[in-house]
Amino acid sequence: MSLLNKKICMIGDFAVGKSSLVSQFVNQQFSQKYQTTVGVKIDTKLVELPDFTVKLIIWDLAGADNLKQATQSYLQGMSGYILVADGTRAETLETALSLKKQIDSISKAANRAELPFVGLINKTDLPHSWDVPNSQFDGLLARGWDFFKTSALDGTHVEQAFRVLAKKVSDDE
Amino acid sequence: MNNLPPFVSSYLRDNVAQQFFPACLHADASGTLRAAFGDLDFYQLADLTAGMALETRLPWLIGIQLGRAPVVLPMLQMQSGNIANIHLLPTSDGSFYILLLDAKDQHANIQVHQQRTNEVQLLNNRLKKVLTELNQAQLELREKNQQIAQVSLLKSQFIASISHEFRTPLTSILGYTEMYQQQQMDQAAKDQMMKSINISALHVLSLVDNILDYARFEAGELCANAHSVLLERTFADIEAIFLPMAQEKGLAFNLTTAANMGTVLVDDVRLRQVVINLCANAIKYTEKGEVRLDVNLDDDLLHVTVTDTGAGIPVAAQQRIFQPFRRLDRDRLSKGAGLGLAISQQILEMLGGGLTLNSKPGVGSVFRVTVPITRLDQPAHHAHTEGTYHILIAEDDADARNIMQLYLQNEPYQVEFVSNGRAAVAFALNNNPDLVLMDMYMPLLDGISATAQLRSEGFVAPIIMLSAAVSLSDKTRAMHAGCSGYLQKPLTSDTLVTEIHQYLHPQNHD
Repeated sequence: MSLLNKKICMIGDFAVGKSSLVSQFVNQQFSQKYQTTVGVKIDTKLVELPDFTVKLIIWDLAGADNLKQATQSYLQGMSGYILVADGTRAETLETALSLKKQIDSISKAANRAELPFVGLINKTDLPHSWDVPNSQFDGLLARGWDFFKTSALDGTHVEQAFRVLAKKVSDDE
Repeated sequence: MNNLPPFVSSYLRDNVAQQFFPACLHADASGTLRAAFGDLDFYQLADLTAGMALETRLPWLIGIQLGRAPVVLPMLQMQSGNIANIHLLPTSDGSFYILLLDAKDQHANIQVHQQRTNEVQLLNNRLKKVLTELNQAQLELREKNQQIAQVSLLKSQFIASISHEFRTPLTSILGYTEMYQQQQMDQAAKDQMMKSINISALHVLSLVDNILDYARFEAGELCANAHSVLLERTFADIEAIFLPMAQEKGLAFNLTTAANMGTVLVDDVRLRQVVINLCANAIKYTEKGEVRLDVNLDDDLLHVTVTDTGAGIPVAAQQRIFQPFRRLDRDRLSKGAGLGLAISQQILEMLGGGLTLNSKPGVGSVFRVTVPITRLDQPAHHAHTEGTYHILIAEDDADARNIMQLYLQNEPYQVEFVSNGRAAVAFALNNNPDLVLMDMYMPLLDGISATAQLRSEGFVAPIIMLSAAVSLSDKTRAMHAGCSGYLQKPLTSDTLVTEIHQYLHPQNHD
């Protein structure tokens, strides 16, 4: 079985749980302490798919509401990305969708197809603070996008979401 | 650096080396290591050897396509834990250099600042949310305060209205009784006076009943008490009440009932209360034409329709009139506390039924009542078959005994009296009366204990508890002790006779 190396990036506003999602996916660990990411942190994880083994090189980017020059250098050569929003802060979903638009613009400017992505609305373990209406979530699915409601704390849908992206970035192989 | 003195250049070189631990890798275009330089140990890369594919050790190189310009990857945290500013420097022959400069201190400084900024922003977001919720709560509170003010206003209006309602008949009673004592008059005038006193007293009683009923509904203390009822009798009684009133106003009062309605299980007291209230309103607000009372029966539902040719109710007011203390402006001059329809609706909800209104101003109104019933083939209670009925009245208050005797003097009953519960038990067990009227609070043995004792001795005839108390718990206790019915004092002649008829004469009313 062949091994594919694929670079993916974690993209979203600050404190939405990007690093926690990576930590849950890679090490099955979660820390309650919020520690902001500065720059970028690299992790890897092997994902077994029916036809391939994919080595995901995960670039966990510092949270931002727009793609600055420095951030764009991190995105170079990525095969896909995970868009993360915080379900208890509806405005972070708007940020995520805005970041997706910026990424699509970069692809378009370089005459490349839009990159595969998976959207995560994180922190389902805080149902009382949940701020994203179901109708809005259903609207995202209706656009044909793969969106998941996840919890980095208890792992809900985390593995599944990364596997979906691993499959998507390997589809052209 | 070239222009600097060699001593300074050397100092700077040493300083940069100490601060940033520079390391450098030279790779060909395919990413194969040609040579490595500098502080490789610091980055845990000392084991790199020429010919090695760098992507296996430095996976962050995967995907990067270099052009002619250098690429900088600031503050990249590697899996080894090192944090470095990475400079990718392409050369003209396609090979490239990877320069690693330690950024641990820079990263730590920025992180402290960024962490603080993010946490402040998160707190601000939370604060905004809390303020929004607070504003929402304030709005709701303001609305609730307005509702409370409205209720308070209605309460004040109610007190003013009810004071007037009580004062009017009481003034009439006081006036007549004074005239009765002071003036010589013939029997016909006296009878007329007594009739007027009776009407006023009944009106006061009905006001008190309505207010108490409403209070009991509010406290959740009113519950249905179904027993076997002859519907023909119920509606004949109602017709008897309203026919003269309608005729006095020049109105027709027409009762139509389905054939063979027979005996059903229903709370007759509450059913009568609703229908009487609707008929009284219909007559009150109709100046010409007719009031019609139509009664029909399904297998399990009683339909009562009260139709009038009165002034009708404006559409805008049709919901409002079911709210307590709400009356139409035109009703201000007529009697009532504005509770009748509210109570009727609550009673019907309690019975599992409903009340709807269809009204056209200038044409009239139709009130439709539905009440669930259970049809009965046989009377539910013990009944005497021939001869005079024997009734035992256990009552310690002499005035109450006298009034009941007066109420029953024209009925075909032989009435015996005792004045305490112990005597009631002894008399009932020895003489086996057809029905017992039992006061709840009596000396020696109270009514509830006496009833329980009689039932334990096998006494099966109906026992009706009499009480001035209005709490649900008293009624519940009475029914648990074995009472067949419960009457609240003060009693009217009609209430007492009707209740006794329910138990002793059901088969005679078919």
